[in-house]
Amino acid sequence: MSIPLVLSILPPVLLIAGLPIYLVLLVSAGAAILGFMSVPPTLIPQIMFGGLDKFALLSVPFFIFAGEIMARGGVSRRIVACILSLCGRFKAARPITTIAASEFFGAVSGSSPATVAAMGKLMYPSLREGGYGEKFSLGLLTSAGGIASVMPPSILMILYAASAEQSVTELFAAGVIPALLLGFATLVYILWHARKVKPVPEARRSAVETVALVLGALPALGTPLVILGGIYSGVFSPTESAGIAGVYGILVARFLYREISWCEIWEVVVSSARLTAQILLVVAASGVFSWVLTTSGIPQALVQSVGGLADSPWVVLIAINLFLLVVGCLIDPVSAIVLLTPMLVPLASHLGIDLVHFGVIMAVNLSIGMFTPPFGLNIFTSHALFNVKISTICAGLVPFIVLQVITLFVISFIPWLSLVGAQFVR
Amino acid sequence: MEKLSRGLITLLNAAAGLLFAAAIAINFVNVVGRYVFHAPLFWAEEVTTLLVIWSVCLMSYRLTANGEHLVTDILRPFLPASLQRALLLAVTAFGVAATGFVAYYAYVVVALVARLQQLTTVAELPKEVANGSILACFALALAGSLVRLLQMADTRRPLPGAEPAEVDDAILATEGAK
Amino acid sequence: ADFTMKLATATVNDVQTEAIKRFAKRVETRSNGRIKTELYPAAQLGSNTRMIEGLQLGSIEFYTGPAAYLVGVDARYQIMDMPGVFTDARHAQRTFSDPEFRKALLDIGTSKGLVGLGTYIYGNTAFATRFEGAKVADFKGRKLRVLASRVERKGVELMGATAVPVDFSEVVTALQQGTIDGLKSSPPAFTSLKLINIVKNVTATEDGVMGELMLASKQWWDTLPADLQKMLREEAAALEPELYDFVLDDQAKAYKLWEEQGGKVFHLPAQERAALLKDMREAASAMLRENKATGEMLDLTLRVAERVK
Ligand code: NA
Ligand code: NA
Repeated sequence: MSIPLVLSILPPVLLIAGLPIYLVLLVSAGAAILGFMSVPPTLIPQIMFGGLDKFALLSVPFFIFAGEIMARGGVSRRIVACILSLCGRFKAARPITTIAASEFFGAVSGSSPATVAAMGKLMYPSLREGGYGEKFSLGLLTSAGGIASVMPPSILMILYAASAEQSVTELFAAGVIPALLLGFATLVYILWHARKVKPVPEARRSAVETVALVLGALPALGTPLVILGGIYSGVFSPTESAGIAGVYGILVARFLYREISWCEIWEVVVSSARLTAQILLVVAASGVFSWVLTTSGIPQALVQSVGGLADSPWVVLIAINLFLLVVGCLIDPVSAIVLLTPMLVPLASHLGIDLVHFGVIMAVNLSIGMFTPPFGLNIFTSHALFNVKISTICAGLVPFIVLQVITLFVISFIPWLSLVGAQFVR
Repeated sequence: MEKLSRGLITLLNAAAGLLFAAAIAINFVNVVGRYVFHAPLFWAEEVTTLLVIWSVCLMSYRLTANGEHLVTDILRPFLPASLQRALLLAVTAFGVAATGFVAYYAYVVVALVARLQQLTTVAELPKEVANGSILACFALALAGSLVRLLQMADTRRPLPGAEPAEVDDAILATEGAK
Repeated sequence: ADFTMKLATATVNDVQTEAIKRFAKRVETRSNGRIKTELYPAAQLGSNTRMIEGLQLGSIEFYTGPAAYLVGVDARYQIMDMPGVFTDARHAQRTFSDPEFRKALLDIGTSKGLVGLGTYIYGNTAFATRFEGAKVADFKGRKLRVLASRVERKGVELMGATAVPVDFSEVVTALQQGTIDGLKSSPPAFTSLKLINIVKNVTATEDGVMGELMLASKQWWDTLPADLQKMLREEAAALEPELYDFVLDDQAKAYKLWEEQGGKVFHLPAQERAALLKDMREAASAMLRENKATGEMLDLTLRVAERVK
């Protein structure tokens, strides 16, 4: 037995047995520590705390809360009704609304699971009402959140920039076109998929009705404006904006629409706290797993073997992409980017790959990792949110994963797509 | 025991909810203070983070006792009912051991920072307040898994969490209640 | 190898990374392979706070980082960041390398699981700002990001600005969007964060230095034979002057690069700066004297600083 063996055999066995995921990660890491490492087990609680003690992580609970308030307080219902009344006659209006709303929300929040949580509550019932299947709806919602890590602001890019000594501004600008491209690819699939299903036709509305719907939804539609406006005018930071969105949601739902009582707001607080706990306990445990992985030297060895494959940047880029996709299946993106940037960046610059472009590649890659099984926070978020089997979600995800991986390779091999944005701010 | 467990869950729900709400409130006050009055709360980031961490940790009792943790339930649906019960018992017993193990070492960490009288960097709170959260998390998870184990050992009861409830209706209900 | 030594730090491509690289090389060579070293830059093993805990719990063997993060372990560590005491970085070096000061500072952590091996600096303090900070009045009413220690906060308030603590992960975004108007750090940090793409101005207040420590885990230390302990102490001490040379060269390059890339570097008018530094020193002294241990450390530092002037 050795550490690589423990870390590759134990997790799948325990996962299949049905041990809670956070314990799977802790027990695997603990076995490696007790069996093969000269570090004390006090490391486990200490690093777990470290995994949670990050201010930027707060955008997850805050957006979960904001999303639930808006879902329960009639805010999201009005947004959906408004968009549908405007473009409801178009084909596939509801999934298109979903992808557009997810991209917008993901752009603002910077957090992939938070986007799934907020948009899931908002759009899932609407999609199902519109006649779309369970798997398609779950796959769409779970994958659409991934864009949050590519569209600025992005926590992953900030971490990459710090590690690779690249400009955050350039990275943010470089992420815009790839993020739009990911959305466009999904859009094409949605249109193709909508040909097969018979979506429930939207009701025809008079101009007066439409105007009334739009006016009624204005405060609700203001939410993204408050978030974006607040961030770009410097009133608050992206993480803080998530908390502000919740407060704004309370103001609108409680005092303007009067659709939610204080008692119900309290219920939302408790259920958001529960949902947050489900997700963050896994994040904390994955911190310990990553720590053990880092010090075991496994990733370093893997990178070396990837680098030894060939001298051609193209071949190595394919290898790196495949490697990152596998990594994305196993660990969370924040740990992955912290772990791998210092190892992959020398390799990339040795091969003459622009490091801003490379940052975009890593962000896109790991954003896909958010919804590739077995480990994907978006999957877990959907699972907790909708209480459906993980296997159902994964089945629904397959076409979206295929699509985004293809887009990833397009983004990888056409550096122009990233660099044209970066040129603007260089 | 059932009653005690439910009472504890109600209590912990309230505590976790209060901490969560406090985090949102502090975040808001800090933004207003900084932008409008040029008077930010210097401890806001550290304290909000700690509040959410504690909220997460206090939830660990109900997540464990009610079997609400995130799991990938792959094997069990393929097993006959008797084996299902055995697997659940084994997994829960394993959980008791694992959470007990981590709880013990979390206690060692807390004892160390308490002995050294260390403070958090920003708000200068005793570090036990920070590291104690993980101890609470695993002590509660240990209690929760013991309760779950005892409940499961009672063969007259149905298996918990065997099928995920149909949620479509539930979600539509929350939306359509208005 | 008889021993494994994980050397950890929070950053990349700066003096801290240089410290772990060079120390590891020295240790491997001098120990003839009895100590095997592993490098973990970029906070791979956790944030500064986590790595310091790791030393105390024995999961990390060596760490280097800012003294500012050790204030929670013992308030006396903040003495290195004392404003208005050192005439320049070399004066700080002479003070920190003085045997009397060195022993007092390095022994602080012994009872708290930390063996002090050496000190150096990250650079002189300076502000990177959205506005042109040519004189103290330009800072009035601005929102500046500082580390959250009381001394740092007080210093910014003395300039008429508001001290805003912002998590490191959000500093760049906050500066870009104008949530903050500037941040206090050191020139090498400004260039490595590529702040030139966001702001154009640096004010070299140089009110103090950013102190750095090299620490070993006491738990691990106690397992080492005496000859290896002696060797580690000697190598750390020998590394110190190298790190000062590296960082001051790096800092000079950083200023030069900043101006080459179209940025401006401001220096406060001499009289204004002298008055500000005096205020800062008095305020910081008053804070340190609230507590007996930090007060004594302050007296020692002032005495040594005067002696090596
Ligand atoms: Na984003
Ligand atoms: Na994944």
